[in-house]
Amino acid sequence: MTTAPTRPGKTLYLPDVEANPQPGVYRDLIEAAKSRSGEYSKIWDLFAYRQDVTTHLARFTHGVLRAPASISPGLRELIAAYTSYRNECGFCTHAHAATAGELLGSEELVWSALRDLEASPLDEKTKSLLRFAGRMTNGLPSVCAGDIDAVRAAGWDDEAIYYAITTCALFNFYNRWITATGVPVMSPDAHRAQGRQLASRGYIRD
Amino acid sequence: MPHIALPGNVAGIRSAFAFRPETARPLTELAEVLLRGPNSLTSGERESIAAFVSSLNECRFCHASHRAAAAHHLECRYEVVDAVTADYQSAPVSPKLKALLAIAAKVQRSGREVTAADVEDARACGATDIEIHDTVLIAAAFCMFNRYVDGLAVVTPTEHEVYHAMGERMARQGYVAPRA
Repeated sequence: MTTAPTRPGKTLYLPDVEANPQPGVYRDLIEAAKSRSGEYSKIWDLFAYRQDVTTHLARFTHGVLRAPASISPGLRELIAAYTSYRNECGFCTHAHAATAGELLGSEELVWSALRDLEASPLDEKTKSLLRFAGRMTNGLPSVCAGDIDAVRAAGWDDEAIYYAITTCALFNFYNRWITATGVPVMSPDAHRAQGRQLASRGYIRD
Repeated sequence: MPHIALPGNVAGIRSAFAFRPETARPLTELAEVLLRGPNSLTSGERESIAAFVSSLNECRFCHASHRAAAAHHLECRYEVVDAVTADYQSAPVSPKLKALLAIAAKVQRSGREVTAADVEDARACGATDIEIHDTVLIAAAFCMFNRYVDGLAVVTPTEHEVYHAMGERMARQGYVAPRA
């Protein structure tokens, strides 16, 4: 395995994963994409390989990112993108930056926040949430009540804090799984297309 | 003291689930299939990986509960799972599990740290691709569970007896069965 964040067109690091999709919706998606000779999101290979696991994962992901709550799906996608950027996961960063951009109305705003949060035009309330996601991602054992106090002082309630924590935790899972198995970054157009799909349909396929 | 107003009648991760049960329900099903579903890795091995990663993340609740679950799968031999946590290279476990724990340790830091050499080492010890993949999956999942638990600061019991009983339930009844 390499340490490069992008490997367009490459296969996954574990050949067995790509060679053994389980029957189901993800295998169907892969086959349809291959028949069009199009690039496809190779996270589908992971989802097809362990369908007994990923069926629950997809439902959980949809709930975390889309359940009605006092924090919008767009902001939750921004937390996902920011967490992924901090974990240097290329695929997840591009996928969720595209989805956040679709939901928030500006991909440029999303990327400005990822590259330099403090200098970005995001409001202070949103910045406080992303700073907290950064602490949970890179400063884990030392996360404390003071970190929460800052987010609460900015105006977020318990429900928003719960979904922010859960989203950040979930993407600390996805980022590790995706980078360790070698899911490659796609073209910008492919990520935008997937972002439109995820923004409108969410994460449940079966 | 939890960071948000979690339901106070339960301790540990269940209080976090109880805050938004519809959103959290698939997590219990995920834990069940990851740790107790049919797998060439035994539940003892998988719970040991979970306890190991949780100790690296310094998550006391997850470490203590999965340590107990692992022990219950290993005829209550806490010393085995403790040896894994303290120094897995010298622990009384198989070379295959040691190679998989090396991968789990790297996943805990970053998925980008896992190398082709780590994968080859595991294969040389008899690990299949699905076992390597599932080790990555479990290690990554506990990097989520540990952050969920500690980000929310769930009430964390301190008594060994509490975790011993919890571990027995986790090992015997699993993660989805309703509490009696």
